[in-house]
Amino acid sequence: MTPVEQFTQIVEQSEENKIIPFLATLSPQERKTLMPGFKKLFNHYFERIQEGNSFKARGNEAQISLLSAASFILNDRKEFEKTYSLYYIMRGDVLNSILSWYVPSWFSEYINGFLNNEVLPFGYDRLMALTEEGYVIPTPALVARALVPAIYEYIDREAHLTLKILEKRPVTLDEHIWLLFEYECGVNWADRYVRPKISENIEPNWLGVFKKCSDNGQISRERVLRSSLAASARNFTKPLCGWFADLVVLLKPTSQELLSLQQELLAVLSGPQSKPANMALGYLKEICADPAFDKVTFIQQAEVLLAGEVKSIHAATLGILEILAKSNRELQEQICIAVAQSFISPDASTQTKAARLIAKYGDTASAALKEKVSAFGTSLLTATKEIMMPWLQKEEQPSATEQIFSGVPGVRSVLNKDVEIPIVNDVEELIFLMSQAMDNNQHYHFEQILSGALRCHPRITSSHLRQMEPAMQRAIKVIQKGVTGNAGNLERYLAAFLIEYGLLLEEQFPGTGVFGKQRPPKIAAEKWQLYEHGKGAYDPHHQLAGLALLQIRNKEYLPLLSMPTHIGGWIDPVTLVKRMTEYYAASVFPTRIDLQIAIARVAFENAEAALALVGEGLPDEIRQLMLFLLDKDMEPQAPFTHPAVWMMAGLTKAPEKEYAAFAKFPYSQVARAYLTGYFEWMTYNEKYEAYGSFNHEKKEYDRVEAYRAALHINYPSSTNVGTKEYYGQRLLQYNPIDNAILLPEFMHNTNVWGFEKDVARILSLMPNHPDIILARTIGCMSSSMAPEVSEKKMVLEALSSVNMIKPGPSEMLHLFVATSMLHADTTCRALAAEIWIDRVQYGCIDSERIGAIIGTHEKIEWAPMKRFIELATGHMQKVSPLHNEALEKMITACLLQLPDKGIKDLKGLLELYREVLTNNGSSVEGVLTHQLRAWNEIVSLKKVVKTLTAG
Amino acid sequence: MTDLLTYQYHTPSLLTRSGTQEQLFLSQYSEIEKREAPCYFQGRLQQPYLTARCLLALSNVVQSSFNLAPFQIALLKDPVVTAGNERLRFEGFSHCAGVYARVDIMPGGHKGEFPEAGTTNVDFNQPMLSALSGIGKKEEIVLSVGKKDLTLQKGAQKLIERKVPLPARWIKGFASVQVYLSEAERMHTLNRVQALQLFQSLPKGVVKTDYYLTIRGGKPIFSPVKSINAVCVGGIHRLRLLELLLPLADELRIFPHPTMQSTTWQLYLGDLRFTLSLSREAWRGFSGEGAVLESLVENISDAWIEAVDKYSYANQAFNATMLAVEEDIDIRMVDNITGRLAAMGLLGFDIDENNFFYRRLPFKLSRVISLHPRMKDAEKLVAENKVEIIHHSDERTEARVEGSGVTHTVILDTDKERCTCTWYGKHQGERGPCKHVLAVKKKIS
Repeated sequence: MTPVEQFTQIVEQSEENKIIPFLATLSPQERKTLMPGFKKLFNHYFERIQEGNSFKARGNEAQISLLSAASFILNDRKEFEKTYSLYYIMRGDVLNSILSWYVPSWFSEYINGFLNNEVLPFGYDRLMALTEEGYVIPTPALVARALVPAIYEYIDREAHLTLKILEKRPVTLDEHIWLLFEYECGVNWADRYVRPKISENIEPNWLGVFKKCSDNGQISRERVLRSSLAASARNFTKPLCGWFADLVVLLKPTSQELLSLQQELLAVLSGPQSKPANMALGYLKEICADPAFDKVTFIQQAEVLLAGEVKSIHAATLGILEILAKSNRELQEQICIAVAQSFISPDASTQTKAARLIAKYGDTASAALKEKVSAFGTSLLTATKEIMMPWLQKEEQPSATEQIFSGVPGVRSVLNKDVEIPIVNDVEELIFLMSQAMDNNQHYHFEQILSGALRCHPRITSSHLRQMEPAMQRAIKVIQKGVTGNAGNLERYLAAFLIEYGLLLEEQFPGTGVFGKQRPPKIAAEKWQLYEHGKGAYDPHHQLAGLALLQIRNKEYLPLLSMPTHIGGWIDPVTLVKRMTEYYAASVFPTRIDLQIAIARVAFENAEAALALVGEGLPDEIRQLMLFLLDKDMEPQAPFTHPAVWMMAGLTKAPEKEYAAFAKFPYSQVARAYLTGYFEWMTYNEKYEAYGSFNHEKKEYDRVEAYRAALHINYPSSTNVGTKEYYGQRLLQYNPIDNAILLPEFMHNTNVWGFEKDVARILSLMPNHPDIILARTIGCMSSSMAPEVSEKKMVLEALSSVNMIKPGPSEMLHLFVATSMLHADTTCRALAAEIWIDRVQYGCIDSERIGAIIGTHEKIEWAPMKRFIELATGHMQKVSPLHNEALEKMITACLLQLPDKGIKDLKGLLELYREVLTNNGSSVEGVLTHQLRAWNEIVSLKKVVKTLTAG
Repeated sequence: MTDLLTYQYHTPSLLTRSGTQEQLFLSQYSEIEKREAPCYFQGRLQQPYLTARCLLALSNVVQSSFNLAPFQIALLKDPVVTAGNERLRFEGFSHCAGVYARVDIMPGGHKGEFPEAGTTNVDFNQPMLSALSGIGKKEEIVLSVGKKDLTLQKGAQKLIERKVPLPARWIKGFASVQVYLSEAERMHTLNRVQALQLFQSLPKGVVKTDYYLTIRGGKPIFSPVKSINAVCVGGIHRLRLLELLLPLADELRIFPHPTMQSTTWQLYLGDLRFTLSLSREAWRGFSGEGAVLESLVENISDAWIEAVDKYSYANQAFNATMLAVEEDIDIRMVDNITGRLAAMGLLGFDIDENNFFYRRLPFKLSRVISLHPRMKDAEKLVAENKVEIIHHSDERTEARVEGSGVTHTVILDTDKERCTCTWYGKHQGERGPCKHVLAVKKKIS
């Protein structure tokens, strides 16, 4: 029989015990001849076939085993790895029986390659056996990893801690155990999935092992301490560094030992993690009074420690420095200079501690100390400044060029030249604009493309069509495959517009294609719609796109009335009046949606100039409408042929006013808040069903009654508002009261999830009063806990949009900004602060109201107060005198809301308040007398209240 | 050219204690070095603690990857050191090719000799770095880069071999950073206190939005809102790589690129400088930025490369005019020679001294010279006759370029270049010209 035949026979007859001896008899060349046959057999028996209800391999257990062994012997590394056969040959003595006569050249490297596997297919003992036989030269990192689980053995399926394997070979305790300090091998969670039996005198993990072995003298205790300290300061993961610190603590080093290890302890202070540094500082405190202590190095290191962010490290470091200063006169100046570094910290207690230390031991004549302290001028808190007076040099005022904000409120204009939206004047510009249509690069591109098409259409020639191909192709892709990248849902409407426009062009220029090779899909009416419940807010843009098409077909080449003139969606009323005059001169009648949006976008700052232009070119009612809109004192005058438009004008001009003349409109039946966005809101403790513990009988979690702080917008009842069930939630269902839908009414049935790429554009539809959408956005912020990604993005985008659009002050705006100042995400908070800073400059935000809202939230501790304190300290303080005043008003209003029993972190807020007052040269307001008296009864607040009332 | 580089170190780098001193031996390897086991530097470090911290910060940059899976961290590229002209420069580039760092030890920062000059890779292994982190303020360090005499160490000497992927984009990124450095302009200088205050406003965790460095009320601060003269910093969490050194530095200087496509942060620590350059976004490396696309890499003649090699000395300031005189080459014929040589990894840029210095990256030139993919595509478009010039004059060029199933319009004006393709639509020219624009430029040149 040929080798091939023999081999085949062994496989087919499942003669597991024959395979290895057989292959051992063959020469390497003969083994090579087996390859094709082997491969065929392997694939045949390993093929998964269906047997009844399950899938299994065709071969039986023995065949799988012997083929795996054959795979190891015959294949090269790459092929062997593909077969996943290692498990079969690792069992029992199979591997050894092969290796005794054949060791693949790749074997050692292959074993070493398991280093990054989640699970090692061999233990330490096995690895050592292979090493001792010379089959493997393991890398140190692999040895370390394999060693980690070697302290557990399983008896009757229970894990027990054992030192047997460690003690088996001298090399383990002599060399290998020390590798655990050099490599990240998981020594800190060796017991993660193991539930070892707990014994009284030893911790059932490596901590216990190290302690026991060093107590027994099996390994050098000194070396363990030294290695642990070094390891805790390495670039390991945080838990691992902390674990090494725990090991040091467990060994309870004596003072003598600590003194001999002081250099290592000092080195730990340079490490990246704070837990080991805290541990080291604790021990250094024990030995710092000893004459052998390396004071100079510590003082040098202290400066770096005090520049960090961790408060506990500051406290510990200052403690040691105090001890050193007390008994080392000659080092006092050096110590004080190091201590001065603490003034970079915004924490009051750290600064006070440091200041007191310097006051006690510092030399007022020391020029070096004065220079150091003065360098921190801007960081010093009030209390610190008072103590540090003798060392402060004259404070430098920021130069005029550095002052971005002056002390006087400026005049806000949204119609600046530098935020003008360019007009698309020629076909070439239109083509390039269309090719970035699907990228949502600017919020106004949607309208700019529509208006551009309207303006330029008469000048389009057949040669332009080919140039529009790329834009058309992208539009087709969006319709067929959905939006990608920065595009939002509105891009679908824009894509549909482009395609319809392209078809129109092809009609106009027969024989000239505009779509290139791919024909567009049929845009049926359904394709323009998104999911029903989301349609609402997208509909105005949808209608504008339809309108533009219609106007082109009707050869009415006038740009849309609602085309914004300035960034943010604003329209210069002068331009609007001119456009309207143009429309009527051409006998084109504006559509309702176009006119509504145009009205909503009017920037009233230029109203007077526009009023002068409202003239004979407009029909009577329209003229009256424009006069009513632009003249703030004027009352509306009948006739009201288009109630929707009149209503819109009233809502834009003065949303708080209900005009008697409009009482008969159908819209007066609607609860007013749905039209103005002036909803009421509440922060309260709402009852809900929390998850309790698992009920084994019912096989589900018990629900328990609990309370959580929640922020809710009150949607009042109204004849046209109902609710509907949507995937287990009750959602608002708003039904427009009339066929002539008002612009604000579109905003209601909007799902804000997945909305973030469109929010800027939707908000820009009503830049004067974006309150409804803001209210819906606030709906994403009901709880102060860390939000889901989409909700965070939504808030972030809304904040950026509000910053860009710059709407006037309103309750919703204040609520939105105030609530964002308490948001879990740092960037959202920072953005809210920036909006406040910008608005204060122009006197168009009510800081007191914001403060009151924050206070209302914090009354029931809706969010950690710390968020606001850190934000105000880092971003809102000392911006300019105007801002400082506004901040003072904000905090006063906030404090007024807080309960007598105080809240968490009230101390921090009061300390901030004191800072602000001192900065402004003000004293605490009389209105706060009652609160302060009540808080004075609280022990932890006594001190800070005293400083407030004394000043 | 395979994408793999095999480091072959004769011994690992080591930090050992000898008597009262620490001896830091950095093992070197270069695939283009023909000399036998050169020793580049031997001497004492004048600021041992600070130098050790700088090298640790550099190793942090090399070990960081801001957009890749952790398992790829095992495939790190080692830092590169250039010794010569009384200076030592250690350069590192992150795995994600978005962060560049350099430690410059100036003449006052060391006291030693340079037996050979040149550039090489150095082995930064974990045990050596761990030992380095244990260096205290009182230690002295004697540094050697490469060994003067390769005496056998105690125990068996083994060749340390390590294979790492060396993708073209990594090398190109490494090289193109120098071009960004040369175009950056200093905007802010902060003392230590101001720098620490600024970093207090660094947002915690990984940040996806852009932040801006502004001065407000006389204080520098990071804000998520853009304002006039603000420096845009994308992937700002990467700045945490500087935190280790900030409390030790005397000064921080900030150099934004005029187009805000990168920012450079330089720390001054006595006679040491630590430079950190960040790409525009955390998920974007330096190489794809098109900065060097305009410099046509392949048009450098071999004569120039040889001349630069022959006349230039490691770390010496590079002077194109001098070289042209020596080699009798007409400098006007070659446009932007320094930019191109930098793109090939032959020059580095010293932002402090504001000049290029000779430093040849220790990688085979064939790895570096391969064409940028966009240039390659542009060449292909021209070669396949897919570029049609409709109109061409000094002020304006209009062309049609065949794309995939579509025809693009390219217009080059005196002040801007536009194309109807997706790349241009999305980036509006901020990330360099698209292949269509490049193809048109190539055709009309």
